[in-house]
Amino acid sequence: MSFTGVPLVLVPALAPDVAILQVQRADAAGNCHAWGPTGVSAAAGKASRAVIVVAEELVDPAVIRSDPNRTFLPGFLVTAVVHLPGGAHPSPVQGHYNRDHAVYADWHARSVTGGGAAAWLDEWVREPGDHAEYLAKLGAPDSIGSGPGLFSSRRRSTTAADTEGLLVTRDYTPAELMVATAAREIRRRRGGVRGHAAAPARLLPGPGDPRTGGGGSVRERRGARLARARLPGDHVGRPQRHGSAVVHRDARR
Amino acid sequence: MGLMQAGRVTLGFIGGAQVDRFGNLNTTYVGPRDRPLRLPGSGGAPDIASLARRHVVIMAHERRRFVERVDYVTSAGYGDGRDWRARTGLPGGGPSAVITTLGLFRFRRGDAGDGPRERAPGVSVDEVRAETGWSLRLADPVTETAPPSEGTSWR
Repeated sequence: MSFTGVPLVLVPALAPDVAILQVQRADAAGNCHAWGPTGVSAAAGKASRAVIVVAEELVDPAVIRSDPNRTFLPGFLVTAVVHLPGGAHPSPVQGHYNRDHAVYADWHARSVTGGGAAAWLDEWVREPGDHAEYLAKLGAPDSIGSGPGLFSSRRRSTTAADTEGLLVTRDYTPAELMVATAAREIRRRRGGVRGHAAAPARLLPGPGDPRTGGGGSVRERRGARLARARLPGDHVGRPQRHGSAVVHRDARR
Repeated sequence: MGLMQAGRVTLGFIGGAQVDRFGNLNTTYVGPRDRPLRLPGSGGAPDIASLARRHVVIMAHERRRFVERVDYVTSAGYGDGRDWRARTGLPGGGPSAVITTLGLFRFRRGDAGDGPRERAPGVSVDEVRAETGWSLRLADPVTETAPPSEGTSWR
């Protein structure tokens, strides 16, 4: 279909059977409040045939009514309410608990193989009889997730000294090197993270963009990029030597 | 999303299970279409790949991840190369680099087939080649990535 002359893609809507949604608080009728990074939860709740709301807190309806524009779903869409603090773990619920990175790291490390994934699911999903057992098994957040992963393994890498038979261990992980390289790329493209504030709001000259009169050739777009590269204070293209891994410090300003 | 659509996001960062020589990312499934191994899915990565002015692919460098063609294009890089992005009408400029545990790739005419521009300290070009599923022309000199400098670590 076409709208304002730009081809648009239309994706058929999903209609899930059940949505299970974690919220901060709900009343007994299912009217609920949720905030933070809610993603597609509200849309999922509205699209589903049945909705189970899992609440950190069960509250009086007056609490929901006291802040109407925070109402996430009205009760008439909700099939059941479960009062289950910690129900979203290891995902976060803003104001209650953060994302439990250690659990995700443990899962990522062990689910590399099918057998490892099955063993993890047995241990953490099938074996605990209920949520209380799950939380008890979890114990201190530091007790799991100690397996080697991208962010914990010290890469043993060599330098020129290796040619003399010496092995030098570097004091950074591959992930940290990638972050440092990424920070340099941010500088290269924009000239520091703070440069975002200095970047004038500007529309991309995308092909067929009615706001910019169209024009979609690679040459034109490259020209636009070069024009941007000439903005004062823009250091795009300047080669970086030993760029800092710190993104909050910007030596140019 | 709104900021990206307005062209106000200079650089996005995304990764995936597979990346190919054209910078296309797959986080949807691997394996044959009739017996796929499901992956977590797209999240907001296609938005970043489509709308950020440029983006960077950042991921662990393993041969099973660095493939000639991804099994499924979840987040578009340069499609099949050259002017594919312009032809398909994607507003963003596409990937500016692929940063990996072994080095850094850039694209020429939407193709990373020239090989790495940088290699991580202690990593040889042969090691990069061994972990990359497409052939490397090695058209450009390969420099060593400068390590994180002293005093810049947050550990």
